[in-house]
Amino acid sequence: MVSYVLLVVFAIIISGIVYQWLKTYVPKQALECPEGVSVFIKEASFDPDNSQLIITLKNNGRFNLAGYFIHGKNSSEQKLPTIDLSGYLNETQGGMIFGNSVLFEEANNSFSPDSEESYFFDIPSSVRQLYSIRIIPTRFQEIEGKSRFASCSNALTEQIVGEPEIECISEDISVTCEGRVCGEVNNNCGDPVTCPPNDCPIGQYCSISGTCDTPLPSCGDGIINSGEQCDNGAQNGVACTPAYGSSCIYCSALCETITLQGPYCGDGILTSPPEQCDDGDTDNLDGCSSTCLVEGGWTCTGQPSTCWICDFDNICDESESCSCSDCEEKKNGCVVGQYCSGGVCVSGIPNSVTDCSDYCVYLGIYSGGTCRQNEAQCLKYNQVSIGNMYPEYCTTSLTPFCCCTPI
Amino acid sequence: MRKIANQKRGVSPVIATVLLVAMVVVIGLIIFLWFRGLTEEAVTKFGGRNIKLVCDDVDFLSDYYAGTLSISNIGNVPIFGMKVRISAQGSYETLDIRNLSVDWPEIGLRQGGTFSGNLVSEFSGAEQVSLIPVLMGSSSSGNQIYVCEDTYGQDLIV
Repeated sequence: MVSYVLLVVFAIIISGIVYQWLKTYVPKQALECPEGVSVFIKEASFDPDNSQLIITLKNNGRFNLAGYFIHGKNSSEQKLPTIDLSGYLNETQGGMIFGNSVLFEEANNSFSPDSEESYFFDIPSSVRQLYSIRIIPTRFQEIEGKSRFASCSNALTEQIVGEPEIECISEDISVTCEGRVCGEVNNNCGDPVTCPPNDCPIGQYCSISGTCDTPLPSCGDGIINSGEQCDNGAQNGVACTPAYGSSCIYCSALCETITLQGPYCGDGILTSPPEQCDDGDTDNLDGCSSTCLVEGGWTCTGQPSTCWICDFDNICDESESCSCSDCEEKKNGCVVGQYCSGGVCVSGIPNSVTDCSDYCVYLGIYSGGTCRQNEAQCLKYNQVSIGNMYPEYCTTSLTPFCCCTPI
Repeated sequence: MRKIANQKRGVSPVIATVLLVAMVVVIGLIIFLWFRGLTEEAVTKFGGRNIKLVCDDVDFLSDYYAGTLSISNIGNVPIFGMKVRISAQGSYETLDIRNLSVDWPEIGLRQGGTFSGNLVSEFSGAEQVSLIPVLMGSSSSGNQIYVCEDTYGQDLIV
C-alpha cells in the first residue's frame, strides 16, 4: 500500500516537472509587426556643408507607427548601412531619441496612416559624407496583454541621400613605377608598391631612383668621388642598426646614403628594455609616461599598452581593473553576467547585491532610479518595456524579480 | 514417525514490504533526479519561451566587404554574441566575435543594433565564414548563453 502511494506521488512530481519543461516548447505568439506596415521616405537630403540630414517620412501603411531605426552608410560599395544615426536627431525640431531608435512623438503608436513628418539630424564630421540611409519602422505591439517594442523589418526602406565618398582608386602599377624597375615606391593612394621585375642582375644594385645600377668604378674605394653621396669602402651596403630613439645612416652599395629609423617611445611597440610600456603616445598621467615608463601605482600590459591603476581607496574607479582590490564584487572589465572576485571575472551576481537598486547600479549601464521590482511593472512604463526585451539585464536571483532599464 | 516440517524458508512479509518500499524510493529518487537535471537545462527567454524556439525569430543582415564585417540586427531578438566559423583548406575553427573584435558591444546587438569591425587579418586565408547567433537566456541557475543551431547562421563569401 505504501509503495503504491509512493509510486503515485513520484509519478505526480515527475509529471509536474516534465510539464514545466515541455511548457517552454509550446509555441507562443511571436513579436512581429502586422502585414501592411509601410513607411515611405518622401524626401531625404544630406547637406555636407552644414552636416545636416533632413528626412520627410510618410506613413504609407494601414497601421499607426511609433518610430523608426535609422542607419546610414557613406559608400556605395558598402552593402549594409551600419552607422546608427538616431543619436544625432535634433530633438528640438521634432521627434525624440528612444534607445537606439527615434520616436515620432512619445512612447505610443502616434504616427497615423497618411501622416507626414520631417526630422533633422546633425551629423558629426566623423561620419563624413552620407551616401544612403535605411529606415526600419517600429511600433508597440500587444503580445499576451503586454506592450512590446517591435522592429518592423519587413517594411524597411532605403534611400540614397548624397554622393558616395570618393574612394582612392589605385593607379596602374605601370604609372606608379614609371621609369622604375626595382625597389618600393608609394602609389597615388599612399600604398607601397614593389616595381617589377625587381630583379637586378648580379653586380648591380637597386638605386634610390628605382633603377638597377652598377656602382661607379670609384664606389668602394673609400673616397667620396663625383656622383657619390658616400663611400665607406668595403662597408658599403652593410646596413646599420639604429639604436633606440634614434636613426642611423649607412652607405649603400651604390654609394648612396640611406637613413633607418629605430624604435622609439610612442610608436606603440613595446621595446623592452628600456620601455616598460608603450601606449602609442607620449602623454603623461595616463599610466605610461612620456618616456615610456610605468607611472607610479599603475599597471600596464600589452602593446600598445593598456594601463590601469589601483588606488586602494575602496572606490572602484573606471581606470581600475578587475584585479584591483577596490573592484572586488564590481564589474570593471567583466562582461554582463560576471563580476570581479579574487581579481578575476566570475559568473553570477555578487553577495553584496541584495536588492534591485543594488543590482542595477552594479550592472553599471543602467541608472539606479529606473529599476523595476517585477516584470509586469516594467511593462507599464514607456522605456522599461525595452528592459523586458533584454532579460540579460533582469535577474530572478533576487526577490522580488528585478528588471533594469537602459539609461 | 516425526513429521518433517517444510524446510523452505522465505523472507518475512514485513521485511519483504520494507525492501519493496526501499526499492521504490531509490528508483523513484533516481528518476526524480534524472528528470530534474533534464528540466534544469531548459533555457528560456521572453517569459518562459524555450530559447531554441526564440532562435527562429532571430533576424539579422550581414556583409563582408573590404575587410570589414558588418552585422545589423533587424529583428526583435537581441543578439548577445556571434560565433564565427572560419573555414579554410577543408577544416574550420569557431571563434567568439568578442575575441575577434573589440568593437562588438558589451551588451550585444539590441533591436536595431549594428556592428562594423575590421577583421581582415582574422579572415585572411579563409574561404568561407559562417555567423551563428548567440543569445542570452535564463534558466533556474541564472543567465545562460545559448548558441543557436547552425541552421540559423549566415554564410559569407570572403
